[in-house]
Formats: sequence, structure tokens, C-alpha cells
Amino acid sequence: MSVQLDSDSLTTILQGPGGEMARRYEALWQAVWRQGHVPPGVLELCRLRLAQLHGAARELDANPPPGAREGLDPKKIESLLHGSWTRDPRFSADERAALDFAEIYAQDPQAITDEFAAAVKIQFGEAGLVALIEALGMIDGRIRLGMMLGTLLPVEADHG
Amino acid sequence: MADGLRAGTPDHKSGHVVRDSSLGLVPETLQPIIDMQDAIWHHAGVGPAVMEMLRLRNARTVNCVFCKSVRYDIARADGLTEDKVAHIDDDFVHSSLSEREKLVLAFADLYLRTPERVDAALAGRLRQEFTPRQLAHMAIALTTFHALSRCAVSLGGMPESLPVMEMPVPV
Repeated sequence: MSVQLDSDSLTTILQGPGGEMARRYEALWQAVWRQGHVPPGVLELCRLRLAQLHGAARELDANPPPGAREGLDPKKIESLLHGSWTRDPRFSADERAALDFAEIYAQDPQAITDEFAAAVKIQFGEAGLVALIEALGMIDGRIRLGMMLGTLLPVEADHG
Repeated sequence: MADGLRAGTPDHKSGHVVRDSSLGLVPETLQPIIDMQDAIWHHAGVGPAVMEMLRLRNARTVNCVFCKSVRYDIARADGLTEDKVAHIDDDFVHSSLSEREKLVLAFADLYLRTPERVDAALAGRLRQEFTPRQLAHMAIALTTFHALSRCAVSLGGMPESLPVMEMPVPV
């Protein structure tokens, strides 16, 4: 049976055996959340949606990245997790553009249309589109690693 | 495939393939991405040939035309021939690749296709063949390749095909 990890546990499990490479991976992860083009609250909604789409229960229950929920209405998270966000008027245009894009991204990046990309650019600019795509890639990747590395890299493993 | 690139590139050109791409529009993540590439190709617990197998298996699964066309020179120097590259497909299990090479590709498929279902027998074989350090480095490299290739596809402007191009790692 697979042992799933959340994002915090993933950091811990990679740090020992991963050494310097794990440190750089963590630095990239932190940079994604600190870039100045897409607000962390928008990325947090995308993180939760991707976790939902992956069926990553541990990621959904995990502590959010530092600062990710500052200013983010908890009711939006509730609405997202209950599947009613598309009808919820609390969601802003930028959050909707990012979430719509994230849903297509999660299924197949080749299915992304110019219209979805344009909707993101209207809200966040060209740099914002790139920043969002980078963030989605990192979020998706950490969810995948969390699902598989709990079994492959037990915490008690030696670091040879 | 999209007709054009969905994001521009920096006005100032540096001659660095990554800095001059759309990724250069986000300076906050640019250097960490370049640092990550450096670690993957020059400071990992497995050699460039193994990393290139992971990268190409990902590229062919994601169908990133750019990524599929590239061959890094250090991977070729490390022994990854085009004959071996030809076996990086869905039938690799029945190919003439070594058992270690097949395990590398099985590891990639686990991440790319069924990360939620880790087969106990495969997990045991991976742990027997690779150290925790090597598995951690392969995992980090693969997730980086995956994110960057999906980024390239998402940004559009992908040609239908490209010839194979040997190049140095952009670090």
C-alpha cells in the first residue's frame, strides 16, 4: 500500500538523502511562492484544486506553504473543496482565470487554448502567465512526489 | 498545437537559452531554475546518462517537441547512445536495455502515470538497485523535467517536429 506524504513531510524526507540538490529544489519551491506576479492566495487555491484532482488527501490536509493563506477568505477554500467555486460570487476574476487554467493544465497541457492563456494574461500579464505555469508545475510535481516517495524513501532510510 | 508563443521573452538578450526564454520574464524563479539544472547535471548521485533517460521518457510522455529533440552532450559522453534512446518507449520492458536502465524508466513511469499506486515489488527493486540519495536525486530531477516540459507545452508555439540536436546543458 502506498504511503502518501504532504508537502512538509516531502521536504523532510528529501532533505536528508537529497543534500544540496534537495536544498536547491526547496529554494525553487520557495521562490515560486515569493514571485511578485501571481498572489500566493491564488496559487494556494490552485494547489488545493490540483490536490483534489490528484486525489491527494494528505496534501489537502497539509499545512499550506508559509503565507499562502494570508488574506484568503476561508470560505473560498470551503467552496473550492466542496466543488461549488464556479458558482460562488466570492471568487474574483483573477482567481477564476487561474483556476480554469489550472484545471486544464492538470488534465493535459496540450489542451490549453490561447483563450485560457489570454484570460490569465489579462489578470496577471505575460510574466504572470509564466509564473502561474511554473507554479502549477511545481505544485503538481510535489503532489506526485508526495504520493510515491512515502513508499520509496522511508524516513528511517540511511542516506548512502 | 498553438500557432504562437503565448508569452514573450525578455527584451535584453544574454545569449543564455534559459534566460532568453519566456522563463526570463520571472526573475524571481529564473536563477533557482538554473541552479536546479546545474545540480541535476553536475552534482547528482547518478550520472548524466541516467538523468537523460529520465528526461527523455518524460519528454516523450508529455510530448514536448523541444525536449524530445534535445540530446545533452554530457549524457552522450556518459554512454547514452541513440540506439538506447530508441528504446525509451512504451515497450522498453521488452527491449535490450539493461535491467538497471529499465528500472530507471519504470521509476519515471511511476511518477508520470501512477504516482498514487506504488507497486511493492517495483519499490523493492528500486530500493535494491539505488541508494536513497540516488532515488531522491532521480525524483527531484524528474519532477523538474516534468514541470519544465509542461511549461514549454503550456506556453505554446511548439512546432510539429524538430531534428535531434546535441547541445551542452544550459547552466
